[in-house]
Amino acid sequence: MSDVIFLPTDLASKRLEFLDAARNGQARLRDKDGTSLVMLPESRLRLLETLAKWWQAYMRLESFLRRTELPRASELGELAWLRSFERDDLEEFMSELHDALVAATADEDTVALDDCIRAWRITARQLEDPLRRSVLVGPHVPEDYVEASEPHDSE
Amino acid sequence: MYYNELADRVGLKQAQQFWDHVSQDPGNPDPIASTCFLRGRSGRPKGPGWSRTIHYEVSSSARIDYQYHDAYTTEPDSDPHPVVAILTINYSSH
Repeated sequence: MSDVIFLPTDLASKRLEFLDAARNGQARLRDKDGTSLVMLPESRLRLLETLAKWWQAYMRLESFLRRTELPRASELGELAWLRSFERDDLEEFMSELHDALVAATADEDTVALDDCIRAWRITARQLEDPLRRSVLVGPHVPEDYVEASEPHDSE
Repeated sequence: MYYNELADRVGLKQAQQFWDHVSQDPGNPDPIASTCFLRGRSGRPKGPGWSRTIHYEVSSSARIDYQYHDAYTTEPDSDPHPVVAILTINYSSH
């Protein structure tokens, strides 16, 4: 946290210094009524919001999985897309989400988290269709496959 | 067969791009199309030697899940050869 605390009058006299502090992480300002205000890069704010949102989701999901029955879609809310998964998949999601959150927090970058969420969302979408689901989670049956040929124009 | 509709659905160029990818370098990311490993049970290899399940976005309205095997044999004493198994084709849009 920055040691320098600006005052409202500094916004005129030390404007560039204030903005530099904000660009470099955060600029703290003590308002006339004593309220502490902070200006920071928007990208950092988004990072903090994203991390807070997903840590909260992680904690919520963790509490759901302590129960015997799986959470209902209405309980999952924004995470209702997870309803396609069985318990073992949800536990695997939790483990990967935890690792991604720790990495994103340490790196101050949500790339690992974004990749994790994206891949699980795609998987959930693929499992929505019963036929696709049966192929993806079922055993490999070689007799079910035929040779495919290089694509060509049908006209 | 679903696969035979691919060129008509997404165009020959993108269908050919998918074909080139899986026939030449199925285990690496495609330079153009978006790919990822499916997660959980859906992403696990179907058996020894099989890769994890790769999700390949041919276009915004066509996605393919596949696994590959570098040394597949149809019989115990037959020659090992690389194969790609297309598990699912999804033609619906996001």
